[in-house]
Amino acid sequence: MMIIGISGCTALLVTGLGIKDSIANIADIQFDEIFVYDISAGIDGEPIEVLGIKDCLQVSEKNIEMKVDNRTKSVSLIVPGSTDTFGDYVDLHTDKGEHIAYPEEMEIVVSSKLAENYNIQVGDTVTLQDSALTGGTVTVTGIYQNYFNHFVLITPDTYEKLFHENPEYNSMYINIKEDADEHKVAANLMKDSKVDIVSVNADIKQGVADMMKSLNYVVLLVIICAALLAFIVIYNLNNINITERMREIATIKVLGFYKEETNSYIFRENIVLTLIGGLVGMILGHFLHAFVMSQINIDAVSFDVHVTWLSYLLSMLLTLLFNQIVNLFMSRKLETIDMAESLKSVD
Amino acid sequence: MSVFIEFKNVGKCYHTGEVAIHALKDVSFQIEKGEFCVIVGASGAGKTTILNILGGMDTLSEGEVLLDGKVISAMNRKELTTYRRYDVGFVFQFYNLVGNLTALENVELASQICKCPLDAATVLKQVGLEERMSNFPAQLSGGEQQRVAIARALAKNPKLLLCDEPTGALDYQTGKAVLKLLQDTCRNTETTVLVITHNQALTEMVLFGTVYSFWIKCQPAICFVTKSVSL
Repeated sequence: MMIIGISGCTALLVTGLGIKDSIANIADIQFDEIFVYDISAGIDGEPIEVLGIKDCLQVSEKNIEMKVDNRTKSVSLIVPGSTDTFGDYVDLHTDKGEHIAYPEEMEIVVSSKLAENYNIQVGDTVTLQDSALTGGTVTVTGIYQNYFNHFVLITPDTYEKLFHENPEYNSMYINIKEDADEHKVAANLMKDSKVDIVSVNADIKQGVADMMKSLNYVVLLVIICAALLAFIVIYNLNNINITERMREIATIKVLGFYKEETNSYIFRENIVLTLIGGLVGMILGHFLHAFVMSQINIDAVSFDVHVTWLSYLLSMLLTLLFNQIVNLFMSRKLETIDMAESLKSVD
Repeated sequence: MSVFIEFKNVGKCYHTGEVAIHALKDVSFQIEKGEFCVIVGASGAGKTTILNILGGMDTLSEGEVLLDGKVISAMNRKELTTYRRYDVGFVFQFYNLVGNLTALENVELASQICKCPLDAATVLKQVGLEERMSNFPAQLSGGEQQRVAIARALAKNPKLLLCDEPTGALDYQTGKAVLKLLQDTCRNTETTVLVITHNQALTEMVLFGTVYSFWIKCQPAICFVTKSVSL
């Protein structure tokens, strides 16, 4: 019983910590490792020069529909002005870290969540079409790791072939100089009448992080509840264990067992059971975490579903800690068992 | 022989709120080393209380208890545990064996904590349980269980053997065999043995030594302390 109880509690701890692991870092990873550009600006026309900009790339962003297996999905189509320098702004790599080359003509690269949701693999063909239903079939040559929203990347030639017109460049991705202040650059950009919107990636990152903070509180609550549960289960099981064995404990006290020996007589079992329960719990927790993450799936956001080894370790250590705290309380109970009274009662 | 156990005006009072219950009042006696003593009395006379105080399981309210010159009544909890560990062996009315351990393991449980214990298997042989060493208490009869309990007490090689109604749950014949075993131990190893029993039938062949009377619950109750038993 003790193993079941303890493994359940450890599993909850693993799940709680695992949720935090899976959610906490995605904003950082997205804006540090994938969207490496600093500012994006919506602009009507050619890119403009502003103090502090190191280099920039004009980009066309448009909403289109992607058809795959009779299912249609609205996605964001990205067409950069030049594909050679695209890598300075967006780092395309698989979830294993392998670099992905920009697609060639009639080829596309899609973001990972999109591929996952619609079961797209490298080599598959999909259909792209705009609101006027013009478009065509393209081949998927790469799936890149991405956590927010759904993107499809193509070359300007592909765009022309599909939609029979030149892409309308409405954005610029900007990398600022080392010593420049991104907010100053953003402010300067806004001054120009051709610029209608400016977003600083650092701000987005911060905004997401703030949003995540409230999620952190929820996760903390899960951890506290799991902890309380573990504590209560272990306490009660120990209590019952000792109460049932009062005569036995009184006997060994009469035999002359010192306080530490009496304690270890009972608690040796406890520690072994807790260790086993904890190990089983870690395995259970792995599956419980995967289940929970699959249930809280949102379309627009991809979670980095994993549990760090530190979380596993922490769950195990916390479980052992609670066991020790309970043992401390219980050892006081053992001490107060009156030998004479316990032995007098008739079986 | 010198005085081994001495009770001097020992009183034990239980206070529950305003009510005071006198379990023992002004008890005094002396027992010499190597003697076999039987304490007989009616239920509630205070026999077990004497044993508990002597065994260090309980404290007294007034008076003094000396064992081999040491003042037991003045010891703290740790010292009393040490005293029980090395100097005292207990035999209980309801055996109190650990059900999950075999007979041999039950005896070893006690002998492993002593300074110079006797070999557990040898002691079990001496009590006549050579064949039953690897049996669990549930597989043993009452008399056999009691003999395991005695073996457990003997294996500790104690100075003092305290037996609280060892034959209480046994029939007359088995009880007699158990008492004989205790007496043999007393004679052969010079252990002082104290047996409590309320079964006055077993004292029919007793040679009276001294009679002490104790006041308990404000009523006189006579409690015989006999010096030797011939069975």
